[in-house]
Amino acid sequence: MPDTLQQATRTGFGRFLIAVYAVFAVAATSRSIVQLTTRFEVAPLAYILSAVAAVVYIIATIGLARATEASRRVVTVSCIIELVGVLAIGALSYIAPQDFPDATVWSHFGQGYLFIPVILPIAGLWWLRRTREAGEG
Amino acid sequence: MIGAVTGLLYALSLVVGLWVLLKLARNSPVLLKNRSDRALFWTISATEAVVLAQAIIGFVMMFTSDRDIHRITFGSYLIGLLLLLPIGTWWSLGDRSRGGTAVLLVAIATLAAMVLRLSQIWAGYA
Repeated sequence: MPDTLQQATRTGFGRFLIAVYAVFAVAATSRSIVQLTTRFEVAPLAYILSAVAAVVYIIATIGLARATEASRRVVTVSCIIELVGVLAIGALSYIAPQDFPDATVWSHFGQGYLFIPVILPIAGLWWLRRTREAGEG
Repeated sequence: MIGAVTGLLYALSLVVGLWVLLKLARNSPVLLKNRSDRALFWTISATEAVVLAQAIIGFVMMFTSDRDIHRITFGSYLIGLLLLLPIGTWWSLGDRSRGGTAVLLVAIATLAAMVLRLSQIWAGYA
């Protein structure tokens, strides 16, 4: 019953998770648009990565809110990309700070955003796993 | 920006935030048949009214002042703030459980953070 899967995905903790993802989607997208259009040359790598983060957040928000079997699979992939991204850029921003003259959402593991960026993909994957059986039961 | 408006928004965020936290801790859902939950919604509506006042004042000040601020960012914050509580409340009401109540906490925390950023932008930080 797809309806049950959908309900399980977007109620309870899922409701909260989608709200946090939506805030990050809007914040990262607006920030990215301003960075790319007004001062792209200052930190091209950081700004492109910010844009990637914005796209990942939009995909996760829409995918979780739709909560179909297909959209849940898309979110699983996007959460993995997000986790790899935040860990890689978090580490890189410490190892090679010269490449990041301006911060991205994922710099220093999301320190500027209370470390929520590193928690979000883990929470997302955990929630998808937890609600996986809802559609079958 | 206007200190009084910013201060009022921080105070209202704190009141709504603590109120919602208390509801989360007691695991009592937000149901409009309860008088106290209606009071919570009136408080959120009052906050939205202050946000609207802030948007009007903000846009007037933005166009009349000769401050060197990033106008597109400033204007986006004013409009984003206007949409935040209505959308957050709508999303919250779709799930009358603890999850929906937690959405209100996300909305009000985001509001406080955006008001802080708004005053930083007005003060001249990017």
